[in-house]
Amino acid sequence: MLFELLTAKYPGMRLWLTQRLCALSMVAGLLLFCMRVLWLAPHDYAGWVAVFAPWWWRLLSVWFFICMLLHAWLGVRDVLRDYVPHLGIRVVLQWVVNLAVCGNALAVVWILFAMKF
Amino acid sequence: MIVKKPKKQRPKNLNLFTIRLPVNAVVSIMHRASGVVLFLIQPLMLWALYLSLRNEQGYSTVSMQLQQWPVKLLLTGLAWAFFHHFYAGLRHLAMDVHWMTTLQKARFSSRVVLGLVVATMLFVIFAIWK
Repeated sequence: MLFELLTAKYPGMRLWLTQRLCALSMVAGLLLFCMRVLWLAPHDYAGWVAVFAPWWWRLLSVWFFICMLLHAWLGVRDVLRDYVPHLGIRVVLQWVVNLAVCGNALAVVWILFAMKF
Repeated sequence: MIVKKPKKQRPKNLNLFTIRLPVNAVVSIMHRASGVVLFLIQPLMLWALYLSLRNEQGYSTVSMQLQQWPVKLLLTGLAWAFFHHFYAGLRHLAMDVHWMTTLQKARFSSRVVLGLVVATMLFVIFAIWK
């Protein structure tokens, strides 16, 4: 039963579970970030760069931000569905949100993987 | 055959000034509102991350901006949005696994969420404005 809920027959359940897993991922990520900041105690630019510099930390950060964007995208999607009854307006707003989320995702990947620091 | 039931004449009140939400509903709607706030602030947050990591100058710009009182005010509001969303979200996750789902327990956990938000915000306000 539980696994059936996660098959293509119930697409809403998969989105629901995705949002919850992203939430749990972010809780773990935030705890890690707090521990890392407390451990390294950055107080200037060099210290701040040292927090984000290791490749594994960049990877974890991108994972965190992708979870954040997915979680937010699913949440805003529900909000629009609940509060914007006019289909045309909702479709336009949803596209604006989709573009914003994609733009943010590109920014995240660029900052953490392509930018030199 | 579908029998149409006669429409019941029930009193209806949708006046927002006289509707009083129960505490669970308050926590729930604020979870949504804070989520929307956090969504809207994402580009600014990423911009701050970008500036602070790009070079020495960007880093000092961000840390100088964080000393300005309007930014501190914004930060305080965002901290509220974050911590409310965080605690209320944990509560929703608990309910997803069928924990604390009776009305009485849900009311209790709502009050716990509000209490935790207030307690954390006292700490955050002290940290930001000291």
